[in-house]
Amino acid sequence: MKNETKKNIIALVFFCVGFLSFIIGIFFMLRVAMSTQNSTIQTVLQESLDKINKNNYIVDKMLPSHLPVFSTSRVFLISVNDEIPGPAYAVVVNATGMAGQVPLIFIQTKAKGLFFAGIYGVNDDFNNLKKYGLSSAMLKTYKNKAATILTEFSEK
Amino acid sequence: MKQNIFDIYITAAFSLIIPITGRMAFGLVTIVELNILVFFTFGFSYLLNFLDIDDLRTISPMIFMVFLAVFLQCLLKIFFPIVAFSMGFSQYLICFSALAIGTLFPHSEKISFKSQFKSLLSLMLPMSIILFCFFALRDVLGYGTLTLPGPWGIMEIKCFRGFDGIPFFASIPFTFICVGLLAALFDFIRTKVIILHRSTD
Repeated sequence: MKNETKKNIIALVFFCVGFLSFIIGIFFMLRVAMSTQNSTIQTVLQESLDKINKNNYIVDKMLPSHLPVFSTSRVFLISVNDEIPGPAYAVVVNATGMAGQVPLIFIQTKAKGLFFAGIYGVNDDFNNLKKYGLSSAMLKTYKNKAATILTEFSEK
Repeated sequence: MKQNIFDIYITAAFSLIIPITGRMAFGLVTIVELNILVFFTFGFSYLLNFLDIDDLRTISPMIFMVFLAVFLQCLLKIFFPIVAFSMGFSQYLICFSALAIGTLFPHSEKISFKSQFKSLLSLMLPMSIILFCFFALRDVLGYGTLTLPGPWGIMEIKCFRGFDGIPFFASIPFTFICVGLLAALFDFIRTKVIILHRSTD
């Protein structure tokens, strides 16, 4: 074998190994990033619920999504005190209003069904939808989306 | 600036201004990510040019940009998770905008790295300033705040006491109006400059 060919093969092997390790690195980094993001979303959700004066709602855990990397919504299992016992869920949906993206919180309980709880991660004006460019019709659309997401989860 | 270059430049800027939430926190993230994508891809392209790897010159920068975008999104998710979640799919528009700017950039072996870098900087600096002004203006007028990205969401700095902003200024229709006026202004200035050039010739 010629010296030049040997060099080319070595370069190709190095290139493949580098490319593979880069992909594996990105994959692991994505996992770390997703778990960090999900735990932060859970913490902020609990804070948001406390601020909306829904102190009796405790966020237990996040349910795994079917497309966690690209998903624009998260579903959490929550426990609710002082209500009919049964599974309760909180859905965080990234809504697109006239002023851009704003995540919304929907809660589903056995007693109240599915309802809009407030705007996610905002320090004030939880129910000031107009400020975030959301109309009641838009809210209805995202409520339907939350219902669809919950149906998908219950079917699994 | 030629007509098609001007159009691509304006499209690249406006594709970010319109869909991304009009708050300064999101604007800062967008500007930083756009600049990193453009300058690192330029560096990578120059390296390919320098190493005489002609076969991969078209596809490699694109793959590199995609990897870089995923890497930056990972960093964004780690350091500013709520901002990353709120931005959603609009994060990918930054990649589109960077690609559009990439088509404007003249790749030539005859021009030195320094002068190529300077011309890229002259493209990116005004764009970054325009983007920053737009996001800051919408934040101040629409919400009465200036925002910064933080680990637990966005940090708000109240600008004026008793002023909570007028929702219309934060909305996409207001952005469309501003964008239209700005495009008309740019076009007007460009036409005047062309007339002036012709008259001096």
